[in-house]
Amino acid sequence: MNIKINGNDVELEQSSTITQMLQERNVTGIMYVVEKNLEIVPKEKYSQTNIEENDSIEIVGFFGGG
Amino acid sequence: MTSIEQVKRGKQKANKTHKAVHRLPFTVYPSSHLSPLTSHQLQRYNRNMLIEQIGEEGQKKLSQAKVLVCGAGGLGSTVLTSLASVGIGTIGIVDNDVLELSNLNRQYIHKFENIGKIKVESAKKWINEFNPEIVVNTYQIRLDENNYQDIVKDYDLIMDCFDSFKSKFLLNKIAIETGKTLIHGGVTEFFGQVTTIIPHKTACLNCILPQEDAYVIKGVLSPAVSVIASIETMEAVKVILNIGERLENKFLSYDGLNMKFKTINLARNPDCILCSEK
Repeated sequence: MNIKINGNDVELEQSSTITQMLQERNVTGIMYVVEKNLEIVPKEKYSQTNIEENDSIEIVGFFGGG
Repeated sequence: MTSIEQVKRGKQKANKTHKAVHRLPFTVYPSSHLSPLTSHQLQRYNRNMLIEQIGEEGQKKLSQAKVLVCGAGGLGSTVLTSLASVGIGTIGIVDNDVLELSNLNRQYIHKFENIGKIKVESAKKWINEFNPEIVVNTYQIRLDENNYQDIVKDYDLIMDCFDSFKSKFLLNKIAIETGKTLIHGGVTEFFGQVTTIIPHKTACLNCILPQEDAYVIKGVLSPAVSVIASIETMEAVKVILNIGERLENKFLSYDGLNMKFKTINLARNPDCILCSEK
């Protein structure tokens, strides 16, 4: 399955949820925002949100300094 | 040529090349309540007023605006100096810290001679020397849920220049409870983000992220701080003037290491524990 993550072409071997995709990419911690096809995915829905062919995913960090 | 004539000529010139953008419904000051500018202001802000979307009327709005800057550190340095430069009339500064040498890789509003002194006073001194007409109120206090009301009520806008997740989520809560618009910014190392929060109209921090209280000292680089702080100030100007397209329901992410900007669309979370109407 071909998708885009942060603008880069990525091939996933099998269907995956947001949670699984984040685990596979070693995205740890909790302070980041995930957008799927231009819509933000609420944190509590990561495990129920499936990634599908040609989806575009953006993962951006949230920084607490000032 | 007088300043006013220069402004009028500038506006005529600008009219030929630009179309005004007035899309957003939020107005801080009605025109009927604006005081005239002083001769000092007419000269000082001539280049602001030559911009079609600002003009003399816009400069009056900026001069009457009251903005509360929470944090007089890295983000606060650029936000305070930029707000003073554009001509904000009243600036409040909240910070509880004293200046340390390790602050001076980025907190340029403070001078070396002020190490060990209170940051809000050091920042106030800079603004007073830059423009004595600006009213500066200082609050040397650690803002918390019991002391914010008397401070926040006097201001139109809150600028998030705090330096921890905990204080940023506290400001978010204060904004929701008081209905004050919050310009949020955060930065670490080469990276940062900005979003503009209109309470009960746009997504708040709690809509998109879990509450986080951890405070860890991390590296931060002055140019990244200045980028984020400049964007925060630009948002403040646009909110006050009700112009342009703002970062409402948008999360602008900055990656200075790879020089990329990204904008993520946000939406209010109907289950948000803070701003949901449920």
